[in-house]
Amino acid sequence: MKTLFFIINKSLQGNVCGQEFLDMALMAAAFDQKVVLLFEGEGVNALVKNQCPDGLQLKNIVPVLNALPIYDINDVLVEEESMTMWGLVEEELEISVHALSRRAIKDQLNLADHVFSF
Amino acid sequence: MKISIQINASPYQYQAADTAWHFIQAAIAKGHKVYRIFFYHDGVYNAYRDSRPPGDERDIVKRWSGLQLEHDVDLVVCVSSAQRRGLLEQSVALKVGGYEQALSDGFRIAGLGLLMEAVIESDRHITFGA
Amino acid sequence: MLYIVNKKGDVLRNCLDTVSTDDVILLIESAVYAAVNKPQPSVLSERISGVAIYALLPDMRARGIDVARCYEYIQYVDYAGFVDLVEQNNPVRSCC
Repeated sequence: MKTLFFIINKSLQGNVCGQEFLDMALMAAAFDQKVVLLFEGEGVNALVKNQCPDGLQLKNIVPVLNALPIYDINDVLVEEESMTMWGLVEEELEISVHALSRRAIKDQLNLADHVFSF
Repeated sequence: MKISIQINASPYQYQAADTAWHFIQAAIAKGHKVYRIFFYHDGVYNAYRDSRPPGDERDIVKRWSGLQLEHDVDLVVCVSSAQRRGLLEQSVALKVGGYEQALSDGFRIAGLGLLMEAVIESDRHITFGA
Repeated sequence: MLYIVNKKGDVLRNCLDTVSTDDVILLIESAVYAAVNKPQPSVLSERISGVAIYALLPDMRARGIDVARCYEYIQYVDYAGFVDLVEQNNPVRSCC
């Protein structure tokens, strides 16, 4: 089993790339790999509540986030420094996450077999 | 070293396809194995058979096809990315579009499973994006 | 970890935010402009200790950037060297 990190450091809304990126993570989980989702930088905003992309006829990715445990993806990390920078607290997020410092995240990242970004 | 490649950006508008091409040439020259190239997001346009660049420009699509012929590199286009963008495979193209298929020689269309299989098989997975 | 960075600006800045000792950064495509020591302020003006920064020479030549105009601590690779960096470092993170 390999450890695969999927890093979301930009918005998941507005184009199809975020959605297609999450599809990769779900597929990796279906292959029984250890999947870790990491939200950092601007990407932490992808987790906030009250996203209504439907008004713009954009696909809503929030149901995918809520379904992550069904796919056995339970490691969802957010970078504390990014949360602070964007003035967010965990209660404002759509799903439960593990908030870790940049340093602690980097230690985990260094042990990953592959790192994905988009 | 066994390497898999992912290309996420359309050709010509971004340098990704060119950078990946030169990287792959260098890797093969050094004796590394390029296991698979997976075309994802707008990267699927790298496979579009009707691409016709002016004669004095590199032909990116033909270059990939040649790589498959010469070095037997597996060129896989993501089916869901491709269908979303109108690049249909043989069975669907005939039925829906009334044409043979959108992919150039040497490319095949398949699901994300082939990306993951390549990732698991490879020592390195390198993404070239927009 | 090897960071492959293809844009200067935010993409490079975000990468620099997360690098740590023993990391390697490779500047490719238009990110090679970040190696030039003229623009002020510049994100690479202060060397990060323990982090090696490479620029892809073919991308420098394509843009007419002379290494004489670049920070002295920058190192250079061609595509063969790019492959070597990938072989020597894991994991690899593409920053686009």
